[in-house]
Formats: sequence, structure tokens, C-alpha cells
Amino acid sequence: MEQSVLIPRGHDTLAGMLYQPDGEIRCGMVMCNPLFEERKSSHRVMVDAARAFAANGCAVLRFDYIGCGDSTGDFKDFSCPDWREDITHAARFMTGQTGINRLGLLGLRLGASLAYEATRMIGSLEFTVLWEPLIHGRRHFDNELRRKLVREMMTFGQSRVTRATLLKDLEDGQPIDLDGYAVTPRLFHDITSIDLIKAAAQGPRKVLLVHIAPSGAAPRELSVLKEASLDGGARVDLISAEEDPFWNLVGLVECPSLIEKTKGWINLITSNTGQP
Amino acid sequence: MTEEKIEDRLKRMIASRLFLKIAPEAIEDNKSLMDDYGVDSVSLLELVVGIEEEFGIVIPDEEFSIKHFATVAALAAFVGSKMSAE
Repeated sequence: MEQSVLIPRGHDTLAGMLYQPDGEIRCGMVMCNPLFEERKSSHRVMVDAARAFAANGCAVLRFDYIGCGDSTGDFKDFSCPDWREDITHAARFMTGQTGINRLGLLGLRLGASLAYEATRMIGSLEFTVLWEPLIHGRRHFDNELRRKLVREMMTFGQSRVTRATLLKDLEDGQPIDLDGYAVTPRLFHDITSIDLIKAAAQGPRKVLLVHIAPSGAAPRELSVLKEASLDGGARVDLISAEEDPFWNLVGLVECPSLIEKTKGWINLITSNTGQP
Repeated sequence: MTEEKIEDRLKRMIASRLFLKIAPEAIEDNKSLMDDYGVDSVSLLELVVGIEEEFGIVIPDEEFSIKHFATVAALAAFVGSKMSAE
């Protein structure tokens, strides 16, 4: 059963979709979207995944962060700590709606990074699934700035700004435009402060790290995150799913391998044995 | 001769990093990377990062110009000039 829901958040409201299994509910999961253009490109795969997990006995809640999608608020007024808080509201709502106490998070890209950091704010999480998480926010943001230059180059023949001028604007307290989204100095600071390796000691306890690419081994930084999480006492599995980077693609994309592998891991973790 | 080598390396890199479903040798030197091979802003950034890693050069923001990235031939000339300068 699929049902649109409104999640209270102080004076605001988060819009969501709740997917409930027809039969017995084995566990629950909150899905954490990426942001900016990646949210739009990944929408269909996230819906497909939610439906597949629900058909497998896992109730799923998808929702829009405050200032995004159908939720209330303006994007420019919010940043990473607000969106991490949204995840805790969504988790609490999920538990209240379904009575499930075996709860997990699944995040994609920046949503995975937010989920990773939100786990310390949610008391009892059973598992966390990270699809291609952004491990170093500064590197990600630098790439986003370069992507802006590339877009300008493709539109105008030559980039009209440099990263230095964009960063200067942020330092001077001015927002900059990325794909039509106003990135405020606060959001810039919060994204560039993301460092999952440093956060690993306080990260989730049971983690599935998924590298998503049509071919090739997982990048070194995912292995480093795995090692750091293991050092922190977590159980971590690192796998690859041979799929296109759907968060960057326009049009319909199917990711059966990604969904099946994730489903298999969740089954394992939430089975009564729970051991690999 | 050197230019040829750069072009071959570029083609291998383009095919693998951009996940093109064609063999590197099938990429033609003077065909448009955008119009003929579907390179978009996302894959072009991947290409920039790949070139910097593969050839050990830095592409400054000021040199993000379509004339350098239009074709493999243009890209090879650009990379060659950056390698000579560094």
C-alpha cells in the first residue's frame, strides 16, 4: 500500500510517501534523497527501490527535506543540520505510524552522507545503507563548482567565472547559483565540513556501502571509510553494483542489480541469524 | 608521433571513464565529442578530472573553453601544449 503522508516538523511539514508491505512487516526504512539536480535524476530509481523493498516486507518512507520538493520552506533558509534533523523526524514518524522498532536508513550521495551523520541522533537503528556516499564534502563541492564552469563552457563557449571568484562571493556572504539552487555561505560551510572518515567512530553500527558504476572496483576512499568504520567497531560490507550513475542521468533508468543486492543484504541483516 | 600517442591515450580514457559503449579505436579524431559521442557536462567534468590524472597536468578554470574540448584532435593538441609547458 502506498500512501502520501505529511510529517510534522515544528511549524513546518515534510511531505512523504509511505510504502507498506501487504503482509508481515519485517523492518522499516527511511530513504534519504540526494540534493540539487541529483534529487530529480534519482527520483524514479528511489521510487522503484521503495516499492521493491516494501514488496520484500520492509516498510519504506520517502520524504522531501525541508525547503525541498513538496515540503514547506525555502531552500535558501536551510542546510545540512536541518536536513539531518529531518531524518530524525522521519524516523520517529515511521516508528509511530507502523509500530516498527527495527528501523534502518538508506541514503544516496549527499543523502547518504546526511544519513551517516544522522545515525548518532537516532537512538536505535538496525542498519544503514549508503549508496555512493559523498565522503569528503570539500572535494564534492569543488567538483560541483567545476561542473558549473563546464556547463558555462558548453553554453557560452567559455566559462565566465572561476572557482576563485565563486568562493570569494561565498566568503563575502553572497550566495552563489548552482543549477538554479541558491547555495548560501552556511550551506557551503556545512557541505564542505562533511568528512565521513572523521565521523566514522560515531557512525552507524551495521553498514552497507555500495559503489555504483557500470564497471570497475570501488574507489579507494570507500575502502578507507570501510576500514575507519571497522576500526570504530561497526560491521561494514562494501559491495559494487554495476549500474549507471543514475543520479546524473536524464530519463528513465532501471537499477535491478543495485536493488536486488541491497534487498539481499537487508534480508540478511534483519533475519533472525543476522550474521553473514 | 607524440601527438598520436596522446590521442590514443585520450580515446582509451574517454571510452573507459565515460563508459562509452564503443571501442576506443572507433572514436574519430575530428568528430564532435558532444554531438557525436553524447558527452555532456557531467561526463565532460569526468573527462577533465581524468585528463589531469592521466597526464599529470592541471587545467586552470580560465582555460575551460569549448575549443579545447570539441574533438579528440583539439583535446590532444591542448593536452600536448600543457605537457610541454609544465
